[in-house]
Amino acid sequence: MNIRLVRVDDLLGMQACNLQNLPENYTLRYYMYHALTWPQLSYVAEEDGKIVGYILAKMDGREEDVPDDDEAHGHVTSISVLRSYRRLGLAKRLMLQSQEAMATVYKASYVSLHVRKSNRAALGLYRDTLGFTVRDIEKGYYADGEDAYAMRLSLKDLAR
Amino acid sequence: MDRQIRPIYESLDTNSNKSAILACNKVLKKQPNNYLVKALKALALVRSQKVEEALLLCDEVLASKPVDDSTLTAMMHVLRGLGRHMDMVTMYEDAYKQQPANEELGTQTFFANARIGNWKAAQQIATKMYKQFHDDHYLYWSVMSAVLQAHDPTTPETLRTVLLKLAQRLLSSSATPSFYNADRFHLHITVLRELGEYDEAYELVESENGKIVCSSNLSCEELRREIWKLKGLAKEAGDRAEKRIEDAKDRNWLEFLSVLDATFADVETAKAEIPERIVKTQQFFGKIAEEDGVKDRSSPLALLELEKRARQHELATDSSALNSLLESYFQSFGGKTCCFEDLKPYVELEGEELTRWTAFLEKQTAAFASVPDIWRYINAQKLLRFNLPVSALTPEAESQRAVTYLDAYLGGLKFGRDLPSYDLQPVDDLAILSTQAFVNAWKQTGDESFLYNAAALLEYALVRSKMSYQTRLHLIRIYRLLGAPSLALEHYRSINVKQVQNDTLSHFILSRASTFSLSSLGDLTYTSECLESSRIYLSNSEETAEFIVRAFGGEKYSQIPDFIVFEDRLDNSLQRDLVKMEHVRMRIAHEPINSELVDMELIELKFIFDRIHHDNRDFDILANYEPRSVASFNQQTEFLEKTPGLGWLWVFLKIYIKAFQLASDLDDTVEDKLLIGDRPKPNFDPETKFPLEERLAVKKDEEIAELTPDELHFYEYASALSGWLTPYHDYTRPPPSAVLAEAAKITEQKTGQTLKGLEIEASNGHGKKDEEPPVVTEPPAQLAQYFDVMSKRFKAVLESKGLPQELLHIVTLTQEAFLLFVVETTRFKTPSVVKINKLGPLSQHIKEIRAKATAVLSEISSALVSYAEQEATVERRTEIVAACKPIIHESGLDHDFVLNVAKKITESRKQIADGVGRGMVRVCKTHA
Repeated sequence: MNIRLVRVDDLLGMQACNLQNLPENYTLRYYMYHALTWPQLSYVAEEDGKIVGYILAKMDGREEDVPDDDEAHGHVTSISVLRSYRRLGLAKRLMLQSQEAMATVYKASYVSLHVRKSNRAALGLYRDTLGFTVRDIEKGYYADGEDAYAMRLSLKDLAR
Repeated sequence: MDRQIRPIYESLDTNSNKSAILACNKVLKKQPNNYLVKALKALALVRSQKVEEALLLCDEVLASKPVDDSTLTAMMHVLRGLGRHMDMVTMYEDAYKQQPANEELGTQTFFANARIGNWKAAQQIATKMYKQFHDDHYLYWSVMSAVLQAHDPTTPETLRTVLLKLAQRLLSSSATPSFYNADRFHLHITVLRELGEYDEAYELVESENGKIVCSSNLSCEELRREIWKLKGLAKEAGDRAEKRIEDAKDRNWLEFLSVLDATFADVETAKAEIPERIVKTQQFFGKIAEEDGVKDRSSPLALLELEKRARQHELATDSSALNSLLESYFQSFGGKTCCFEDLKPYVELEGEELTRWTAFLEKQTAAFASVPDIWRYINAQKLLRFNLPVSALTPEAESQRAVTYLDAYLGGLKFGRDLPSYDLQPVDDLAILSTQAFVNAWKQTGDESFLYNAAALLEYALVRSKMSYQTRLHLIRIYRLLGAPSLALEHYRSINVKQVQNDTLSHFILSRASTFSLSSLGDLTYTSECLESSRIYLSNSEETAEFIVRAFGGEKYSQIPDFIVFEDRLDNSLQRDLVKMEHVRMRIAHEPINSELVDMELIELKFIFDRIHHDNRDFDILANYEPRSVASFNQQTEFLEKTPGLGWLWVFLKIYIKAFQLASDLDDTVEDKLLIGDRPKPNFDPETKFPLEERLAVKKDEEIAELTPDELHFYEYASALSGWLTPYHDYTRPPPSAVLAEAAKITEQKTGQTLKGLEIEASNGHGKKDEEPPVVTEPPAQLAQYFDVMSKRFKAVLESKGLPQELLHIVTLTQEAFLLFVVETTRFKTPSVVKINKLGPLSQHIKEIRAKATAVLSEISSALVSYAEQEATVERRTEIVAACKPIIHESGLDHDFVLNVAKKITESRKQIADGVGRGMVRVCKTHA
């Protein structure tokens, strides 16, 4: 297993991961925007040249040119691991890699994400393994009407 | 002024093109020479598909050589909409020339060139801007452009080094060192690497500042690793990697590979040292494996890889080591889903090793107590199956195995009872295993019963795991074999394929899709699926070039080559053009065959014929659990054992370009004058330099190898047909001047303006020809014979109860031959054309062949319609249910469930056979 920065032409390989994911619609443009705007936040996990997982993340809450804004925070847009590569700590590694960059490169004070209320496995990972806490419930966040937990984790300890 | 313009922008912003045009007209009444408003009107016209009118305005604005920002921006959108990127470059260049001190215009000129990959000009502009504005980033634009020009496949080999040297020289002239910016540093190292200046590159990455950059930027770190490798520092890289693994607890596989590479470095010259190194590496990985336990797979996998490489070099010492490592790996990670994929490269065993391994795996029983137990069992089954020899794969043994897998599947369902509806059952792969065993049994016997079993059990697995795309992909393959395309499409749509997946996965449903289309009856389901899946290519060409420009703007040099590769891979995707070909084949069965269709498709297909394609199709996504002694599941379920690829595409392009060429009045000179937008960039393949006629005539074995026997027969028919008719078309085709005059007349009717740039010579229609008309020869016997042969093929497959897929294949190719005949003979349907050119005898021959073809088609049609009737009877359904006896259980996957699947299959089959049959009658009638 090798973790490296996402490249634009990975899109072709990343799409396989998305088949297993819940069907949220991210356009070509959206992916390219992430890769170009915050190149250090998105990673793929490779196994023998095959992409088996990825994290797509961005920065929120401040303008590019105001680095000291306290509200600057990272947001995980999408994280996905091929089913056959689950329970190997892969999502955790991807997440930590991205969090580290959020804190050191972009001085993010916290990281946020959304998770389906019914997705107990993911909830367990974020809360128990990574230390996220639930901040809010967003009603009908997903296209199919399901609610989302809005979760957060402080990155103060990581900031250098 | 602003007051008048604002409403135009507002209308454009809200896509109200009609009101934008009205608002423009209002202003233009008072200020007929307001070029900004003209440009905006052109934009509104382009967006409302009024291309002819837009072109007029567009040319007028361009002629005025605009320099103001608003007009230029509006024109940029107009030109992009018309595909006239070259004109965009000229426009900006002209503007920049007029205002050379305008930095923004310089930037835009650079971007315009970058958008179309015109790196030579881009490089020159950037250099000029650097000299003029003294900003370092222009220097790096210039370096990047030189590198990209060197990468361009059209750049001659000798020029490449010159360009890279130029880039190096530019870099050394920079006022600030490259390490101030990681992306500049990346570019710098890239240039040195490509020049082979590894020492200099090494010094840079190992300098104090270089180390800092590499440690904080993964892209630079990757380059550093590469430079070490290129410098032959395998051993040093290995030492470094050992430290990373041990001290920094880095578990990236690349580090483990570095250690392995170091172990076997200089294996030829230092062979004596290597056994010692192997022992050392073994100890190292062993220690890490002990520390990590079951937390990380890296070191146990590295131990397996070490043993594999030692065996390759005949340096392995312990003959039982591999078995022990495999067993220990399975003990630790057999409960993880990835175990099978992990071990696959190491388990191609024979003899005693295989016996020991098999005995070990057979100890895993289907008595599950937990989810990891299930996976342990599944992994063992997959690994056992992988090594089964052909002798163990008799149809009886395979169906027995299929039932065993299925029983384990049903038994394990209880462990997934409480999962959310979108989650997948842990036992899903057992259903897939069962399917593949049934399919392997079918492949050997040709007995469709096995496919019914597979279909029914997969449908059941889907009820339990709604989101399992793997199950759906398997069903799609099986339903296509069984001739039930509506069910295949239903599953394909449920996968909810989006974005780039349209490129990588649409082959599942659109490969040879015209076989399953009912476009002849006016049912455009499959036709619109083609268009839908092709949208991604349009958004690629709209979006990606903009991102390349943005990457320059943000100095993200390390990403620019990736963007270019990505754009190219989608733009020149093989699947894109395979789908396009299918779309054409469906179109001619549905639409009137007139010059509008023929001319447009001719131009597009000729463009495609000049492309260099990339195959982005994902076939590996389809799981393969077939034993290594037989073909993969993907191969087993291919359409008549032939997957269309580049060769297939080339054959069909040749067939259709030739046919449309004959039917069309456009020759190259006319086409040039009427073409809107840029021609594609010429490609570097020397083959495209030959004259088109020659290229169309070439027949290559590797292309033919991708055709089914029936397609090959069709290809021969098509060649004979066009060969016979070419002289008559060439003689009869109106001269270019007459064609252009006609085009001008149509434009004038549409826009009230004359077509620009056309000087039409006075002519009185079809002037008298100097030559005598060609003597009409007998048509080649192949033409009429084709229809006889296909009729026989049809009967044979029907009687032998062959695959429904094959039946439809024969039928649609017979119809296609008729349609091709129509395309190539429409010109001779006009009595006056025949009379003037004295082609009476030809027209007689055409009538005879048409009569022959329609007779065969209607005969096949009625046979197909009655076949459809028989397919949808109670008896047929009962037969299918009876065939599924091995999988029917008391509850869940019970008799009623299977009956329902049988109903769906027979109905879908009836629908397509009946529809294709009736469609043929309709096609014959339309072209009587």
